[in-house]
Amino acid sequence: MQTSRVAVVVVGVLLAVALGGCKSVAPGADAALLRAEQAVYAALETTNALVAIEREHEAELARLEPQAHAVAERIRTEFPPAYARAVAAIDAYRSARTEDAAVRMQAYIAALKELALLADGLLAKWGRGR
Amino acid sequence: MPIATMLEILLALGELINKLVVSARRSEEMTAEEWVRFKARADALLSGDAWRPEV
Repeated sequence: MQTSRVAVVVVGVLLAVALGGCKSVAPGADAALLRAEQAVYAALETTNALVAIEREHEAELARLEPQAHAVAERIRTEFPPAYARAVAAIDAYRSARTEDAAVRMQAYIAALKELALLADGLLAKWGRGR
Repeated sequence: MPIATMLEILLALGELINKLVVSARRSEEMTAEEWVRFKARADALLSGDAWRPEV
């Protein structure tokens, strides 16, 4: 189905941009904070779409992709604490914009990106109907 | 995959695309109020049924 391929490509491209690609930053804006917030937002929305779809269609998707449930369960288990650490790091950076706080923020965001890319891989398969 | 399931997945992907487009267009960080709202929404999502792991 051509439409689904387009949708999957668009999601992949947008996720790549949201997770750390190049984007415009308004004069005076904090680029590190903007990118961190966009990455957390994109990771949350992507993983949330994945777990919601998987829970709703678990049996059908398991027939399509036997590992789907294990991946979804990994995301259900690992994402919430990783998200909490990333948000705490962003809160800390918002309070004191130091180099150390920026480095910590980026490190925790990296863990979220990994889980978001895992979710994106499965969504791409499902969007193509396989 | 049944057509109905496929359509539901495509609708969910369309919704995700819209959200990512809106976020990607931002050029400045969230205000304090927007950040608080985001965290509240995230907490609500993460405590929903879809996120509950199997025991």
